[in-house]
Amino acid sequence: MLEFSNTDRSLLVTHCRRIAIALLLCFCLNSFLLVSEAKAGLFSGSSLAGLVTMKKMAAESVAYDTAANSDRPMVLEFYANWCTTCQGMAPTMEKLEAEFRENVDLVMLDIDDPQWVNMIQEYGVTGVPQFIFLDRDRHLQKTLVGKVPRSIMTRYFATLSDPEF
Amino acid sequence: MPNLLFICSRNQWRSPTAASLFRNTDGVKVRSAGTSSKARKKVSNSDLNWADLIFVMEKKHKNQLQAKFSESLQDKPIHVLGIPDEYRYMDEELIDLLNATVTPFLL
Repeated sequence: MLEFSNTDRSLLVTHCRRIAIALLLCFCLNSFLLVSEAKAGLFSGSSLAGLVTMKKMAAESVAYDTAANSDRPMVLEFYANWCTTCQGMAPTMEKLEAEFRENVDLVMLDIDDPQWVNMIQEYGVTGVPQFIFLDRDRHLQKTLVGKVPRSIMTRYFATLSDPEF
Repeated sequence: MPNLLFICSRNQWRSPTAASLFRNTDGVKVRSAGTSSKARKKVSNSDLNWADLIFVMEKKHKNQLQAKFSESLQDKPIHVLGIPDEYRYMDEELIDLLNATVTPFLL
């Protein structure tokens, strides 16, 4: 058996205390870093911000029935909440919707919502995001899949919204 | 065969719901539009000329129409339905309100 003298014991206690304090400091610093990173992410156009924008757009976008029953061109966006490309494109889509809303309806369809199963088949949706451009006579003008550069997306919105078209 | 025109602010929820609701009623034609500059379909002189019956959701819409389109309106009556902007497309309560307020004009 090891025998500790009183001095040894007090030294050991001091060591333990130091280690505990160091661990506590590490924990605090890490949690602080994690929290500040999440905050910075929210405000810097990260995919979390994209998800927030996308959910807001989906809640506020025109209902499919409204668009289908009007004589206006429409763009169907098939998306999913887990789709990071969809999230990344959300700010662009939000701007285009605002720019062209007078002439074109943007309808957002969540592919995980069972009510759109028939639509997914009808339009041959193979991935998300998939954009279907329909003119006022409901003729298919263009299908775009995946990440689409803003300039190309803008061009198709502009073509659809042209009254001469 | 009366032409019905439904007006709300953005032509997003209330007036499209009204249009969907009465589209299949025998003997009527329907259109919907909005008074806001951000409306999907902005109300136009031709809509007002076309309409026999004009229904607006709120008093403010009637005021906006009278201020902007007095010539097209001439003496056409505008019926205020008194339905606030609190409903989404095809909301059940919205449908009940529309049925109760619009149907008497179609009899």
